[in-house]
Amino acid sequence: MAREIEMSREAKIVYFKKPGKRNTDEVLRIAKEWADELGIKTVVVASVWGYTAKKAMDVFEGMKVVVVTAHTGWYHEPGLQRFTEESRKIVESKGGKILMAPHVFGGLSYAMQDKFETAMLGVDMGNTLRILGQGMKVVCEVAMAAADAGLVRTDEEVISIGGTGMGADTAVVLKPVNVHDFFDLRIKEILCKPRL
Amino acid sequence: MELKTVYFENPGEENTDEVLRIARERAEELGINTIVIASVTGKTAVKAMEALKGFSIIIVSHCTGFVKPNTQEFSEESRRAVESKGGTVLTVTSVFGGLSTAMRKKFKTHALGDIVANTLRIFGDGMKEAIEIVVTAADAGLVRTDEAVISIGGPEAGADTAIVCKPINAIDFWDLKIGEILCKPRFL
Repeated sequence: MAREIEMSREAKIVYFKKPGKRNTDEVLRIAKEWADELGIKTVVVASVWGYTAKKAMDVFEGMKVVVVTAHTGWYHEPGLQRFTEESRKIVESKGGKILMAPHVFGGLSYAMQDKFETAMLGVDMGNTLRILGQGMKVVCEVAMAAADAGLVRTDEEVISIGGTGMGADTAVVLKPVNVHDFFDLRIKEILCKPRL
Repeated sequence: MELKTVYFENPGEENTDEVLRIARERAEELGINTIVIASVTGKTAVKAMEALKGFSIIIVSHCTGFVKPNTQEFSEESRRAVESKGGTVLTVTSVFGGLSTAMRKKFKTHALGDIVANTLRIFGDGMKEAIEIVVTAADAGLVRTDEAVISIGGPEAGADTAIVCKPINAIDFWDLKIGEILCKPRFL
């Protein structure tokens, strides 16, 4: 049963000593604890290869899980999708949704950066969010990608999970927005992140 | 490392006293000596000089002319109160504003500073302020870039956000790393 959110309240926040994969299990545990506490039914999880996605399907059993992968053709390798077939089968067999879509902050901005060595809007925004960690940039990006794909609603809070390279190191509570409403996004709670 | 963070129901001035209390408590725990605080009129600044007695306090005001030319919103009375208690009031060009605001005013176009500021606002106006003033204070030479400080910001009036970070110069902005978030609004 979800606890009614009080006015000003003290909550815990976990800071990891270092970013990266080693924090994945703890991130998922914290996210599940807070999903239960706040009555949140949906979790969005960034997963490049499927490592985090497979673990998430077990931890979030009974919840709606949306897995957002890296886009196909990552690092200029046309057609390459790093999310493994094995991971896909496991996620889908357990009722999870997998989204492969352009990176919200990447896309054309990365094209400009790579071809013309010029930072454009998405790169600037991504780098701004990175001052709170790579995972913080990712949690915003995947939540919006999921909203644009119609996989999450924009009027219900979700927990969004991201990381640095492989695995997860950051989890937040937010209400997703479509990309075209990015500046209306508000990060409500930060459950865990690396201490940078 | 599990720490506490406080989520305020709403952003704004009503949270100021609690923000100052939280900042003091964490500064003492971490051995931080310097606290940077955004203050438009001086009201938060004057409160801070009492609540944070014993710390090195740097107050960052709006630039002069923010509302209208030749006008400074930070009252002279507040400035005297801060300075008489050993605080410093910094009044300079806004890091994210400046030329970006000029572009917006004249050409109705958003430039880099606006994009950065509005991106940070997804954590609240206070987060944008807390980050901006710490960069401003570093460029003014009032804080070192190798020692952690607590930075406090809010919306137009009062304070609702406090962070721990090592300041950085504006030219190195993308290398800034936010250490801890001590409190912020939850936006119910």
